[in-house]
Amino acid sequence: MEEPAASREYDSAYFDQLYRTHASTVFTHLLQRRVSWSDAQDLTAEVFAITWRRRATIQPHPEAGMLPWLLATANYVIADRHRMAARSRRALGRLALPVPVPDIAEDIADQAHDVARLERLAELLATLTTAEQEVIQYCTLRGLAPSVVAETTGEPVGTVRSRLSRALTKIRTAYATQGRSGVGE
Amino acid sequence: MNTFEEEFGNLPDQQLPAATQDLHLAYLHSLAEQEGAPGTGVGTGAGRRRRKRRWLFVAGAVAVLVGGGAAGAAAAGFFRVTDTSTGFCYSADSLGAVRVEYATADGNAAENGLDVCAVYWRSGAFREGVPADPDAVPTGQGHPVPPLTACALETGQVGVFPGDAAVCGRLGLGEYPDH
Repeated sequence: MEEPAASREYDSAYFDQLYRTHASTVFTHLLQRRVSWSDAQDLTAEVFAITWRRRATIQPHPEAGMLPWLLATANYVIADRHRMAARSRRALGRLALPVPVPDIAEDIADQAHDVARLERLAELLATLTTAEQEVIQYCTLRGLAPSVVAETTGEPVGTVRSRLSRALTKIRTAYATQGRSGVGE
Repeated sequence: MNTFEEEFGNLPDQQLPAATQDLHLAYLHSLAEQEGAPGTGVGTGAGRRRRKRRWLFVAGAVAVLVGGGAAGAAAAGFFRVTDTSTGFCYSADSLGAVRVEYATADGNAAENGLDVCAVYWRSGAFREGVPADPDAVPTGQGHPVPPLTACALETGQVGVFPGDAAVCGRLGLGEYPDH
């Protein structure tokens, strides 16, 4: 699904489409960082809630759209995950809605999809520093250019590039070691 | 043998269950309804922030009044940290300043307060001499971090203020850790 066109009219319809376009990406980003399945669901809601509250000051990137902002916000909630997840859980609990009863079989089938590879990826990322994990997620896993990341985080682009280079060297080595040792297989 | 990029570069996203997506969307709609902003209300977020600042300012004024009396000052000196579940990062050395509540993964917000609050300064979310936005997301890096001091608030939580060790006494607060 396409991201909605940038607009100053950030109404509910815009956010519906933004959520439908990127919610799974944000959810996966959180899972890659070893956030538990249930916390990742709550934190995904919190990322979009923060985005809604901050909509007056957010400028979508001219090429990458809202994705860099959403991933940066996800990184922020990861750092403060316990408070954020609790806040989201309280807010969701206050909604006067029928409690969703998921189709358990469907849920398990969904979760099983590529979970083993996701867990191996999370293991590899965990061998890096937080900043290195973030740059791998931005650039290697999401295809964002270092210049876009630099604009999002406020860092010099050279810093992002050198961090990416260092992180890639480390994670490739960890990947090769994992393959040789059979970890995660 | 595959490379790291070949194996993980195109890993498909995990899908949120449909019921969870519906709940999240209802949550987002409720935020819009709370603001009474069916259209956009780009200004409504600012209104909410103004209200928060005003409330914090009133709280600060009360604290100054309490701290101004001799009895109040004596009582303030006995504040101790008794609640480590959350703490507050203050954007200036004033009880009326914009502040952000935080918690830490190990549940000891008091002990980690200086590290947590330094993130807000380093990111530029808090800046000396610039009014802080309570909804600021600390995603940047490279901004200066002033000396930070942890104090015991009247509520029993820790409050981290910019300033040297004298800031707690100046605000009528207890020291943390206490001596």
